[in-house]
Amino acid sequence: VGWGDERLTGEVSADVALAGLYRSHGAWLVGLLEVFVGNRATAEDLAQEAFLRTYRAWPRLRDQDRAAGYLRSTALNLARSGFRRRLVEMRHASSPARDELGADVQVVLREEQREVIAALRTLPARQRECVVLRFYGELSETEIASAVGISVNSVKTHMRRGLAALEARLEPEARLQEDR
Amino acid sequence: MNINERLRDALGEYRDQARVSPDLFDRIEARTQRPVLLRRPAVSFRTLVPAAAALLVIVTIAVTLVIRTGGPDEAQVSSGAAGGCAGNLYAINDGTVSRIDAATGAVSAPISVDTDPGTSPQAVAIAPDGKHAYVTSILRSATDLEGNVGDGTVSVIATATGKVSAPIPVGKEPGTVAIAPDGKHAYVTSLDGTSGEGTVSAITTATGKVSARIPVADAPGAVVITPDGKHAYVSSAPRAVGPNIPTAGTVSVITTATGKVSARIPVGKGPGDVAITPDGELAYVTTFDGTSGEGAVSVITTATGKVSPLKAVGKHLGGVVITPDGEHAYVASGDYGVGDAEATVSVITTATGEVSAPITVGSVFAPVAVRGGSVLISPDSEHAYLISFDILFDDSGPVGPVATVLVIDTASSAVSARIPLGRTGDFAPVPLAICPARSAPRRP
Repeated sequence: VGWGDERLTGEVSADVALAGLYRSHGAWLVGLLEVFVGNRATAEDLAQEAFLRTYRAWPRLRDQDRAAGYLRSTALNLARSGFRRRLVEMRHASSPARDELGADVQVVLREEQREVIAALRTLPARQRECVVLRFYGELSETEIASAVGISVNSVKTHMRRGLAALEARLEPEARLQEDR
Repeated sequence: MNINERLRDALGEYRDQARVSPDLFDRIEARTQRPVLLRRPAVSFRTLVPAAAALLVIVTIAVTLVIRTGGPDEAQVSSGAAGGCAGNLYAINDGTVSRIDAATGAVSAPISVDTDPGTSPQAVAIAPDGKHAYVTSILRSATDLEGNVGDGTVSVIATATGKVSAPIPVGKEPGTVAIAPDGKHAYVTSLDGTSGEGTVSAITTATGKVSARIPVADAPGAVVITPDGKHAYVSSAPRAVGPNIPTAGTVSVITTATGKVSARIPVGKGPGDVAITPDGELAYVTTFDGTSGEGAVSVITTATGKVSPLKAVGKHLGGVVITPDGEHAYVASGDYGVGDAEATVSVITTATGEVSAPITVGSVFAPVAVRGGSVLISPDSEHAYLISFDILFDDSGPVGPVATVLVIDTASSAVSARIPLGRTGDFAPVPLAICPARSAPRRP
């Protein structure tokens, strides 16, 4: 069946799916990526790539929910490693155009929120991802497992360790009281 | 506020303030159709001919390795004693290094090269004596949330024990690594400074110290050493206007004794991988034209620096490797449109320059066919190794991509085995390196 041939399949074509997914997840994904990469321009570059790859995977996905899962997992992978080096390479070439975009906007945080983000930064990657997906993304453990690429049990472990480490760093007093 | 409330508050701020540039969707839509500049004005794809299938020209970080092999009198393979190197491949996948037994397909437990959780391994090469594997990594932890360039390190794994040395600091954003035939120096490419200035760091392997930092052309990718150890060839593929449109590239030739670049050879657009014939006479360089996606191979006569006319090979070339007998060059390539893609291997007969029709070795999910980059040949020339990717599904949804090592029987060009490596940490390259045939060092 040809690409986007709705007459034959009754399915949503890739471009319709892309538009729908972008409407439901565009800003959400950029915000999520900004948590991980710290600036909106990089977050937008990664989101762009993640949407594009999901578009390409549509023939295999053929379902909006699956596509959303695929989008999250791809975005996380892109933020994690590998692709970042290529982004650096892009940056060298495309900086003049970038300045015109005004995309170097950043989320404004209060002091106590900055502390939380700084503490998140010290966590191992998997723990950070689990915590962010839960508290930013409000995803279920199953959805987090799929996005991070680990089992539900691992999600529980990473979440527990991540939260404990954050608590130790941010709320040492509360922690001491608990221990007593 | 307890910790949960604080997290919900801080991260909720990101959600509340999440905005996208008004043209982001147009940029995505434009890229669904054909190669475009990252910041190109939007084109509504409904106005374009659907048959003009999108070709995303990707930035290939070609992974290069120098395979050292013995002559006929040295061809006997060591007995593969436990922990020995011979018969193994090393792969980087999802932030760790794995050792793969090429015969059985057994994959070792992942080896972490650094305790720092931000460590992201980039490339691996194995010393000619097979005793050590060298792994380049980028450190993200310090810069993770700023998206800055990361500091680079090289870690050394003892192949017998799996023990990892303390990381050796090198330049920013290291790419590939190659080890001199005498094993005394390792050479690492990196991107220093803010404009991608290229550097090659020479590490004295005995001391683990960087003994020279050699400036090369911007955006270096592959580095390989000539069989006599006298020169290093470094490909550089600067990109003029966007990630996908490489401009004219060069190969810098370093004289290893002086640490100076003795020549810069223009080789066409987007040079990726480099391989040198065992007699040291010819250097094969893969290139691709970012606009058309067409790939080609440039052949440099090392004595003169002359470049032969480019041979068209296929689309989106990845790695190139030359058989131990020097008779053939294998070039990995991936051709893809909007949906699935094919991973292919083309075989060049070095004596005549004849290029075989591309041999399809796998059906690979879209833009990743050449991301894996490398193609390897076993020391006995019987097998070639290539990475493919797949998307799998389970009850919770898509799982993947999953990287697989394709083992190709060179005599029949058929895939003789598939070794799954597990989920990749990206559709990122899964760099491979192969152990030399013998564990004893070969003295020329």
